[in-house]
Amino acid sequence: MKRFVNSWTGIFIVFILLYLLKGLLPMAFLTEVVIFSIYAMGCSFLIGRLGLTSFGQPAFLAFGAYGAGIYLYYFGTNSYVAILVGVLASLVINMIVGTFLVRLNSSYFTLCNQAFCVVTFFIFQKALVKWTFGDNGLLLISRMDPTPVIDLTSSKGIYLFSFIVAILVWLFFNYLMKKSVFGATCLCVKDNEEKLRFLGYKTFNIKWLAFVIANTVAGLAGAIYTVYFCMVNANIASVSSASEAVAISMLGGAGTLFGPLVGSFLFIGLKDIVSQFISHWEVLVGFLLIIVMLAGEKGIVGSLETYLEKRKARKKPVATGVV
Amino acid sequence: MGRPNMVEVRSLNAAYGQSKVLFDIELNIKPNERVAIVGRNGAGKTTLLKCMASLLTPTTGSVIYEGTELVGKRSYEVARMGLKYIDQDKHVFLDLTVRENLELSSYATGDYNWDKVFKHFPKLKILIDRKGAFLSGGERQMLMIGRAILGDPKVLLIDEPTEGLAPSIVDDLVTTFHELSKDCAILTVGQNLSFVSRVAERVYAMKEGKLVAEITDEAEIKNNSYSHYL
Repeated sequence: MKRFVNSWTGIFIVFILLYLLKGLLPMAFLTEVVIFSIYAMGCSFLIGRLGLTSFGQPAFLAFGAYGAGIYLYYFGTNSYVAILVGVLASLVINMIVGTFLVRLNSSYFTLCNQAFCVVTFFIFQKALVKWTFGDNGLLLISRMDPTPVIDLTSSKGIYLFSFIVAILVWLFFNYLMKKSVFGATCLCVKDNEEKLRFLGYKTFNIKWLAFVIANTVAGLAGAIYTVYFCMVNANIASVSSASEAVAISMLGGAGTLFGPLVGSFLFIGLKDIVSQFISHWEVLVGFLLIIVMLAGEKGIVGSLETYLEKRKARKKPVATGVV
Repeated sequence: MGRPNMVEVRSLNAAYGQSKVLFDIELNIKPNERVAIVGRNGAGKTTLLKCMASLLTPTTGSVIYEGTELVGKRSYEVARMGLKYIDQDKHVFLDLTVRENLELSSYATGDYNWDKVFKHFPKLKILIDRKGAFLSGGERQMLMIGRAILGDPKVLLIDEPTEGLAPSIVDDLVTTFHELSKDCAILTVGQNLSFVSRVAERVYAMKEGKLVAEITDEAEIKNNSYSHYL
């Protein structure tokens, strides 16, 4: 209960903080941070809760992005529908791909996800070039109509929309990680999959569902990304950005609720600020990642949580439980 | 002794790669019976239990449980059928509390009657909100058995239950095993002959992958006079 209250409080504080930052930081930066945090949330869940590290996240981002992009380019002008199409496209692909990939153990899972990312990149760049226009991509700037309630064609509207979606995704993962039996079984898959089978659980189903949920959330981020940038090209699935979601998750703290947001803030911040002075800004992210991992392998939020738990434990000794 | 067998192991052979571990094992368990397999390290006791729980596929032979062949089934299917395996490493889910560990088992079996768990292990009720990582070896063993008895299993396969436990906890386990056998059969393996003598109604002696003797005489079991087989 305490953890539940804490996370609700946390979400509320983040909501206020991000709203206040709106006046201090560029809207474009904040929007990108929020979209990236949605993108990284699935990856963080896979790493932190199931112990599955995926270097194939750009592929899952791309399916959502292209789902939305193809709808807007060929079929309609409503951005809400485009996002929905992106999510559905991503969901279907993840359900199929997940059936094969989650059968692999962690190292092979990681490598095959990356291989899948390479395949996806070439599908969008070469195989479907007639429809996707490869590296040039689909330009959608004149193909989106203003939307009712929140206008997704305006910068304020897309920020607000991404923000609301992020909050909903946070709440969903909060329930999944802290309140559901499914979340607990995910943790047990990471801890000891065989033991979970002893209890009568078919662990394949657990991993498959987690894979579908996590990567459909990445697809959702991809669809919003397309609407935000008004374009999508094959580079979104580029294997060179395969480590971004993993780096963000680890930097912030894999498996934590706010890790992806903190990680995205740092990652995008470093990318935007440092790249003005150093062309190879990734070097700094690399060093930061090493330092954070050496400090406890739990990322910033994970380390902070551990520190606070220890502090609380020092103040209030645990009962021995001796009968 | 006219009761039908609940579990029958017939001509079971198992191997790890090229190295053969079990040789023509024949074994049976009757309902509510307490059976023990004793043997030295490397005799193949754990391998036999793993074959019975479908964690290992035997090279030949069969494991029949209530008339159903278990070889070829998945371990979660075997668990759902009522044959639960408790392994020797006393591994509970470390990040979950006692309550969450029990909830997992309840969710899988649909059995939320925790009173029977607390009847056997009242200490778990006190430790209900403690994480698995902070439980002692004895407490973990209690939790593992407590988790396993949810869903009313018909057979418990318990690997080395006394390993690393203090003598007072072993004494408690003796009582618990007697109580548990009112509801299900127990097959336990181990090297602690003193424990076996107080728990088992029937003992199989195992040596180098073979069951070399079956001891049914109560006095022989009490006096551990079968140790020359090991």
